[in-house]
Amino acid sequence: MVPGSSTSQPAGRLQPFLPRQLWRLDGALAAADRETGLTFSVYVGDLEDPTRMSAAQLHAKLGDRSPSGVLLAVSPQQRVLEVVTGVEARRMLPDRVCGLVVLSMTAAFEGGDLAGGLMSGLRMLTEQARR
Amino acid sequence: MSISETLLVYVGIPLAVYLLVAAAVYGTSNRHVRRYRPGRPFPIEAVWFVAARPPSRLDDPTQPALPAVDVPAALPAGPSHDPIGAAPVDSPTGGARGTW
Repeated sequence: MVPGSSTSQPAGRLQPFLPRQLWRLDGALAAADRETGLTFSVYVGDLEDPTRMSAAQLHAKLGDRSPSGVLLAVSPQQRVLEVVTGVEARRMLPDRVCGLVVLSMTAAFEGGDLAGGLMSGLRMLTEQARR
Repeated sequence: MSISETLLVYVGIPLAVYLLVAAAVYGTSNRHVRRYRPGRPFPIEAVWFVAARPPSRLDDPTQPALPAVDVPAALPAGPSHDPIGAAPVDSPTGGARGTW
């Protein structure tokens, strides 16, 4: 797992995940990539307004992997979840499917379970993409 | 038992046990992780995870490089059926959005 560049954030801020949650998230990301051939990526933090454009910019930062990239961008503070799929990824994960996954994830986030929502979202997207 | 002994046994020992339990509960290493509660301020450090690429032979410096081969020159382009020129393929990203 490669943590993204987050050096612009002021020091002393809290971490959103426990070590064991990070461990499970790492495994889920690796499994999702391995089983689907897509590049899954998870961002947790503030998004600039408009959040959709901000998430799309993050997705573009995947570089040569962005066509097959699937970005799950969560902003707990703004209560927004953006799922961005690249051109190739969109063929395997239509927007309608992403919408259903988003519904399930936001339900978990509403209960305060960030890691659980992300894990179930990754699992659902992996299952859908393998079909 | 003297007064000091009584105090030590009936106040000192319970206090020591109490402090031990308190240290076990609050002294864990998870103090820098805060539980998320929707609607409350949640100032976290932004994190971004991408799974590592599977190890490739190209990344291994101990492997010898493959010998170069003669690459045939590219074929000349044929006449285009689109005299105006194909519009650049736009790359619309898909996905979905949700709030809670």
